Order: sequence, then structure tokens, then C-alpha cells
Amino acid sequence: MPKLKYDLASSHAGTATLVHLAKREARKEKLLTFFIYSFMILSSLPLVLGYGWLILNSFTDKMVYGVVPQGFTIKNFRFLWELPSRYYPDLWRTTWNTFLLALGMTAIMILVATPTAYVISRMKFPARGFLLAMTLILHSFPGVTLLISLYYVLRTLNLLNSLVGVFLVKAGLMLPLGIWIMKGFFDGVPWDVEMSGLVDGATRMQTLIKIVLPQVKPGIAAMAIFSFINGWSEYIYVITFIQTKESWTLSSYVNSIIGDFQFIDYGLLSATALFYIAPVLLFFIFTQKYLMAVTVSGSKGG
Amino acid sequence: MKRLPLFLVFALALLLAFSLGAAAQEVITIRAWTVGPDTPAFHRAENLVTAGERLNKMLEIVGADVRVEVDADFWTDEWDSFRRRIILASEEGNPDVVPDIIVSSHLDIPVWAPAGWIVSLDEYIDQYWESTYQDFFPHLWGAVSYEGKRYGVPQDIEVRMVFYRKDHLRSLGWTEDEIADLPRRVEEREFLLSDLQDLAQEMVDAGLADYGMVHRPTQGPDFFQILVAYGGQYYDPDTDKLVIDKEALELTLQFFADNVERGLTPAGMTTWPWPAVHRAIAEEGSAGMQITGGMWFWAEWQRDLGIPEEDLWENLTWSLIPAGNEKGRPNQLGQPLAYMLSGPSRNKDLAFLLITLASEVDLNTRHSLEAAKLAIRRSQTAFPLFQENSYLAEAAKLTPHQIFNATHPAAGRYLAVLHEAIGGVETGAITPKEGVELIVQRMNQAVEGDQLIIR
Repeated sequence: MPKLKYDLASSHAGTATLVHLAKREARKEKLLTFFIYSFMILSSLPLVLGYGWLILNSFTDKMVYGVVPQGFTIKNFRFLWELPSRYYPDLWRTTWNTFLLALGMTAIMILVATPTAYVISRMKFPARGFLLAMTLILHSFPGVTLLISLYYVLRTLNLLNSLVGVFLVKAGLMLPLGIWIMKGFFDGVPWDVEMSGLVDGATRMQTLIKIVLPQVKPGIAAMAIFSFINGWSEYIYVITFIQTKESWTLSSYVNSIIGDFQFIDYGLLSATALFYIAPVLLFFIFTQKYLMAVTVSGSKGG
Repeated sequence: MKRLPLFLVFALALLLAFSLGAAAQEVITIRAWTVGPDTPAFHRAENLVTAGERLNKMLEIVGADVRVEVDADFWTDEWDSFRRRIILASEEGNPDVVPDIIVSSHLDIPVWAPAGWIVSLDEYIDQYWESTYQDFFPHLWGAVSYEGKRYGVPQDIEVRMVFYRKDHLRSLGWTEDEIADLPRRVEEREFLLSDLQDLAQEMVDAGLADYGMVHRPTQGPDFFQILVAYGGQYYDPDTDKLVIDKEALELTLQFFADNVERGLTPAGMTTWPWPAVHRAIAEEGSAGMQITGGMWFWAEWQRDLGIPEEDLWENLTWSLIPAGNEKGRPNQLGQPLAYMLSGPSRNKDLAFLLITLASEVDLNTRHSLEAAKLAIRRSQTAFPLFQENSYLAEAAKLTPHQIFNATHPAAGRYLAVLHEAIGGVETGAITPKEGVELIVQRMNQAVEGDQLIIR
């Protein structure tokens, strides 16, 4: 009995230790989770506050001490139905230009980067490694260093003051990233899958279209989203290569609301900025699962 | 009011009608890019549009089969972006993109003229000399000339001044008569830059203002006013060379360094946002004085800050920049804006006629009134609307002491370098002596040696 007592006691002690350990682990995990969340909240706080301020400022008459909204108004959105001044281009035309630029870039990226990446991923040809290295080097160039030379190239091609010129340049500079992303996705598609298609009598093109491309759809989607957002937010090439207000995009429009920094109408500026970022935010919210498919190393596969 | 003689317009209309043939009515579009950036200056564009309407009326009267459409743009973004736009468009040289008429600072003429982006207007000005241009204040032509040729038609002119908070002066015990007498004392050298500093000190010590003296945060030609106040020279018109006057430059930089040292000016003044400067002097009174102020602020404070003009009269007065020492003089700098004709324009004759019509007394006066700018024509000063405006009449009294920026291609670089040195001494990063060395070094890099006089 004493032994039993001892065993029971020992068993109780063991359970207690286990419970204690489990509790300690749970506490540690909670603490860790707390720290992770705290870190994430703190690091994203400036962004959240920035967006919050933008939204509040758009719908208020005045911000007391710069942060406390006073009164609700929609007058800051008057640019939607009237020009801020008669020297502004039409807002809807400007929005359409922005949309065209973003869409044009997306189209070029899909049409050029996808087949290029497929060829680089699947085929052996002379100077393949060199081509890959050159692509990477091209991507390492900060676009702004090419501004002057690109200006003269576009002038020679008679593409200044044209959105086509801007999206060709933008797409050209973004292609390396797109090719590398897509190459990663194509690399992730097993050879066997493609081979089985070929063995079953499909042509190379049929295999690509019917078997491989569906596997890399998330990659195409991710690249398209990147391209669209990149084109939508473009500023420096637009103001450098386009001098006519009729071809402005929304980034130039918002910039002009800032004016010469002397007397900024912050309400109007916030409202136009909100109008500018809203489509991208919505686009991002609905498509972020595709962006998550891209990892640092290339892709998680299909 | 002087009007362009009708016979000139009729002659031109007939010329156009014959040259274009008597077929269907043709519409010629004249494009103009104008700049504020101050929003009340929108008549720089509107006057050209009105000129087009008047010309069309005349063409209709004489039965000409041609009409003019004026597509005028007004830029309220920064100066830099406006200039970049002009430069990029001019470099492209496409007449469908480059505007026919450009309204910009006279500072751009020495840069744009050698590049061929704008053309000499001597021939055109002479055509309308008797009817219009002989009425312009003669000294303005010098500011728009380069290498002996006129490349611009003066569009407006302003004065830059020191603004003082009258309420703070009253609090310090100044009587209304003493306040009213201040501009005269400055003009007659009874009140020097050192007195300005002492006055700012009094305001700060009395707790009336956070800062006794603020200045424009961004670069601008205004800072040369202090150099001249200390007897310095930044340009030699005889040799057409920029001058690095080391002694006066050091005194200038010492002035700014002392102001920070005494707590009169914030150390980071060159990083202040513009709205804070405007509010400090015009709205809150947290600044006792503003040097490097511009007369057009008067219009901006009313239009953009919503301050009633009577409040401005109640709280603000102004003067020239006082002399700094016995070698220097009180002064104020003007920066005329000018109409220019672009090199690639296909319709230079017609574009110049529009400039001439837009320079009519009534149109220039409505610009002066709206944007708080001075007259450029003698007739304007006799124009009733102009005479009735007390602010313009008072500000115009500073005109005899006007200096202009150098008409030199590197003048813009000089003022940027001076601003950099001022920022350096104010933050304590460099001493005034080192600031002078920095200016010499930077200017030697920017300008060929024989284009610079260092003394």
C-alpha cells in the first residue's frame, strides 16, 4: 500500500509536472504569439495610421491638432464633379489613361514574360545562362538612372508624349522580374506531367497551353497584379516623358493638387489620394491570395 | 487707356486673310504655358484667352476668314516642375507639343535663349513699339534681355520686402506714427540690419513671438538682397560675369548664423514647410518678422488662407531690406515674369500679336489687382482701378530701390549654392567662412573660370 501510495503520489506528481510543463509551454507560446503580434501591429501601425488619417481627412472639414476630425463633409470630393480649376485635365480621362497604362503593362508582361520564362525554364539553347544573367543585370539598374537615355530613345522613336512610350519603358524594365517569377513557376511544374502530354500525342504548344499554363496560373495572376499595381502607381516616367496634360495619369494629377507646397488643401489632397489608391487597394484585397503564391525563391508551384 | 491702334490689327487681319486664302474659315490654335505658381496669378493665362477673344472680334469686323483659338495652361505646381516641362518639351522640339507662348521668369532667358528654345523679340517689339511697348517702364527691358537682345516682354513685376507684425510692435510700445515711419527710416539708413535683429530680439524676449525673424525656406533670388545690403555684388553687368564677393558673402552668412545663435530664427529654417512660414507671419504672429517676403503674398494670404484684407492691414507693415553697413544699401529684388516666343512655334507673328493684346492696360491691371503685382506700364499707374488699390500704391513706393537677379546662365546655380550655404550655417554644420569656401568651390565647378570674378 505504501508503495501504491507512493506510486499514486508519484503518478500525481508526474501528471502535475506534465500539466505544469504543458502550461509553461502554453504560456511560452502565448508570450511568443503576443510578441509576434505586438511586433506586427507596431510595425504596421504607421501604415494603418497613415491610411486612417487619409480617410478621416478626406471626409472632414478640419483636423484639430492635425489628428482629430471636426465635422463630416463630402466637399473634398468635389473634384469628382467639378475641376479643381479650369486648368486641370478631365478627371475621368486621366483615370482612363492610368487604367490604360496599367492594363497595357499587364498585357505586355503576360504576353512576353510567360513564353520567355517557359523557354528559359524548359529548353536548352546557346547562351541561355548568359541571357539569364543579362536579364538579372537589367533588373539591377535603377530605372531613374536611365531617364535621360530613355528620353532620347523615345524621342527618336517618336513616342514622347504618348502613353505607349511609357508602358513600353515600364514593361521593359519590369520584364526581368516577371521572367524570373514565371521561370520559378515553370520550374515547379514536374517534367513528368509535360512528358505524359507529349507521350499522349499532344504537340508542344498543346502541352504548354492545356497542361503547363493551367499549372502556373497563380504565377501569371501574381505577375499580372504586380504589373497592374506598378503601372497604376507610375510617376517618374509619366512626368518625364509626357508634357501634355491630356495624357496625364492620376499620379501627376495628385501631384498637381499638392501644387508648390505653399498652400495645400489637405482635404482635397487626401480625397484625390484616396480616389487614386482605392482601386489598387480593392484589387489587392481581392487578389492577394495569388500574390501569396510567390515566394522569395520563386514559387510554391501550382 | 491706351489701345492698340485698330489699323494695325486690320492690317494683320487682311494679311492673314490673304495669306490663308479666301476659302473656308480657318481656326489657328495658339498654345501657351503659363505659371503661377501662386494661384492668384491665373490672369497670366486668362489675359491671353481674353486677347484671343478680342482679336477674333476684330477679325470678324474686318470679315477675315480666320479665327484664333487660345489654349492657355496655367501651372500651379512647383517652379522646378514647370521648368522641367518646358525643357523636356523644348528638347523634343515638336511644335505640336511645345507651346507657342511661354510665360516664365526672366531668369530663364539666359538659359533658354542660347539653347534656341526661345527667339529674340526685337523685331516684333519694334513693330508695336509706338502703339504699346514705348509705354513700358524702361528698366524692365534690361531684365528680359540677353546679350543685347530682348527675348521677353515683361508680364509683371513685384517687390520683395520685410514684413513686420504691427501688433507686436504696438505691444513693444511703438506708436502708430512710429510704425508708419519705419519704412522711411529703413530707406534713409536710420534703421539697419543690426536694428532689425535687435527688434526681433525684443519681440522674442517679450514673449510676443516664438521667432523674431523667419525667411523663405526654399532657394530663391531673395537672399541676394542681404548681400547687396552689405555692399556686395553678385553680378557684373559690364563683363557679364558672376561675382563672388567673399567679404559681403561672409557678412551675409554671419547674419543668418547670428540670427540662429540669438534664437531669432530656427536652426532648421531651410527645412520648414512653406505653409508654416505663411501662417507664422500672417495668421498666428508666432514670427515677428519675415525677411524675403514677396508682395504677392498679400493676395495669397487672402485667397488661400482666407485672411480678410483689413486684418492684414491691421497686423502687418513692410519695408525694404535695411542696409547692413555703410557700404551697403537698402534694397528689394524684383523678378519680372515675361512672355516669350518658343523657337519651334509655327505662328510666331500671331502669337506675338496676342502677347501685345494681352499687355493692354486693362488686362495687365486686372492681373496686378488679383495677384498683387506692380504695374509694368506707365499708363497703368493712371488707370483708375490701379490707383484705387492702396496696397499696390504703397508697395510701389519701394520700386526705386529695385535690383534684379543676374541675367547669366549660371545665376540659378548661384542662388542654389547660396541657399545651401545659408542652410549650412544655420544648422551649425559650417561656419560662415567655410560657407564662403563652399560657395567658391561649388561655383568653380559650375562655371568656367573666366566667367567668374572672385574677389
